[in-house]
Amino acid sequence: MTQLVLGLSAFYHDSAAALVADGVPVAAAQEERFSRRRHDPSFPRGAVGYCLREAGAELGDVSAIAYYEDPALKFRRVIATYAGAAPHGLTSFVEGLPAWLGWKRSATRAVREHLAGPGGRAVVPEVVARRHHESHAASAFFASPYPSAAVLCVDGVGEWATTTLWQGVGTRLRYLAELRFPHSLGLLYSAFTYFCGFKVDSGEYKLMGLAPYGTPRFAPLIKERLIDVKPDGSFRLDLRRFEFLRGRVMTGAGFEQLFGGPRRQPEGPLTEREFDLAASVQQVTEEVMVKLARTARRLTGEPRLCLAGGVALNCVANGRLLEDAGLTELWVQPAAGDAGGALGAALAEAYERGAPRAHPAAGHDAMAGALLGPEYSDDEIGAYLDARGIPYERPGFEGVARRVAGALADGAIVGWFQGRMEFGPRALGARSILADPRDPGMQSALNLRTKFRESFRPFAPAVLAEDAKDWFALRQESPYMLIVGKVAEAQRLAADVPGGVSGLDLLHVPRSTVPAVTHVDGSARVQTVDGRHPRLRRLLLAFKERTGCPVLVNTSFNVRGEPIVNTPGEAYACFMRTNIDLLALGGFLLRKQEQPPWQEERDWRAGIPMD
Amino acid sequence: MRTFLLTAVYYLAVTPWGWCRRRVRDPLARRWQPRAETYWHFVPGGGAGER
Ligand SMILES: [Fe+2]
Repeated sequence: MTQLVLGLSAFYHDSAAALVADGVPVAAAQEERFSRRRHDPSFPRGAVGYCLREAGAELGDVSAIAYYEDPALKFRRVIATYAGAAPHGLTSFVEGLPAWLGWKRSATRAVREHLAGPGGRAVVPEVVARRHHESHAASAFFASPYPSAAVLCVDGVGEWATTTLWQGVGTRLRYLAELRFPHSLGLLYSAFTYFCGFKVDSGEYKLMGLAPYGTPRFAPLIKERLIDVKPDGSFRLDLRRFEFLRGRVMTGAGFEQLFGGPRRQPEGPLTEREFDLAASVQQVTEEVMVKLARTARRLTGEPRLCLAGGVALNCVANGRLLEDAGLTELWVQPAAGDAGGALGAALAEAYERGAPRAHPAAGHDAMAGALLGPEYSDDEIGAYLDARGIPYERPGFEGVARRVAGALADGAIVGWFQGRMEFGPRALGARSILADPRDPGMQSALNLRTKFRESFRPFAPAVLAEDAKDWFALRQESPYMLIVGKVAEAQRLAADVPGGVSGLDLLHVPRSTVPAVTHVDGSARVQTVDGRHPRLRRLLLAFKERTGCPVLVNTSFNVRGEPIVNTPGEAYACFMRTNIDLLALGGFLLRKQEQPPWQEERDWRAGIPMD
Repeated sequence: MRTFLLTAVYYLAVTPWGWCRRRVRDPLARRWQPRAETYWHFVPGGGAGER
């Protein structure tokens, strides 16, 4: 009989569920995709239901439920923090303690109650709590293609640990060393995210995108006053400069004194200071990560590194690791944040219960291209379109790929909805918006008119794996868009930045033959596309055949602040609300000019909170 | 009422307890140690730190 383990992360940020069958992830999804609330922290009811449906299983068939952290241990850390911060943390004590004294301390019981349903009728399997960083480490190593490797996990905080080192061998993880709260690289980065006017726990990716516009002039100050880094990468923060121990904000007077005045207000103008702060904290983060990776290499003797935890989503730092940390290979869990903890917890539990870990011998990772989410068949898509009288063509997938390639070459922006949805924050060609990267106007068209987001934000390229080296300087594959590399020399234009051009004006300086995916420092967040993403690959081949260019802009299928689309209906709504020209839904093709006028009762943008 | 109670607990219990704990050993280990070689906590039996 198949051994099923259901993993859950919940109640903090980006809840998710994952199902592992005999040691193999068969389904995983974030709750936000079902509830339509971005980074939804509530119990992942929709995701659990999906995972069980996908496996054709019921709750009673599951051997164990693995929760991604230990609530009792986390409670002790919270209490120690209150004691440590007193008398300066009254607000957070008064606001936070009641929940901790109640359900939060026994979150696994809350999980059981949620699963049991109204009246507690359903039979719920045993619920076990794994440690937060163990869940990250398991998601990084067990899902990786390596028989053995060093493992580094870096995030904000779970229970106590904020940074951990492990060695993975076979189905075992050996715990080597940790750094503890409040000393946290993730919280340092989040503090700067907050100070630069972005939202903590989601704006970090924006801050990373902002960094190349600035110069790291504050880096020495950060290292002198905010973080003490030892040569082995271990560090401590100076908590007198941060506010997160005391209240509900990340920074206050301590940062204002150091960095010349109050923080940027959300949506306020971006100035030289924010560019330089972003560049500085990015540089410090990279330096620390390189040192941590070297220590992981030294302690384990392993030349290969697996990475997880929220900081592992910093693909620029990941690129630096490959350049400077003396590694032969790097594998980053595509759901590196806390959503991926659901998968890690399930894997840790499954292997402890004796499941086999067969994929390293087969030479691939266990993520199936991160395509672990729901899929909609052409029959289902057709039924949806017909029920609403939506005009379409149905050329079948092969015809769709050819026509879309032609339209992209002619400048169209395309919504691309194909196969199973991605698990993790990046769209990898299942729920993507695609465009021609050669068009110099595309970056701003996509930011302002398709995604309604800030003009400074860069876009990522998807490139045929076999052609990647001709277009990007990468030391290895990057199937999950988690490693940044420079655009290859041959594709770069003599980038003489005219005198006086700085900040956001750098956007208008052409830098390469694929300007829409080349960031202002000549870098790109590359996705190398191989057989793991067969439909995107087919499209890239068709686009290359037509244009000679094996690269497309690949950005997530959503607008700013909204979760990535999951269903055909959500894809259609996003298509109609934005300037997307063409929608490819499986084997169906929908053209904007043939659609009836789109009407909504309310202003849809009012319903989407700012991210 | 709850806020009042919590505030009282905070100043009459948590604060003095925290103050005492910090006198013995800060649970948050906040002080920088310029002379220490490392801030790592090596896990006993993990095998690290001995190499
Ligand atoms: Fe985490």
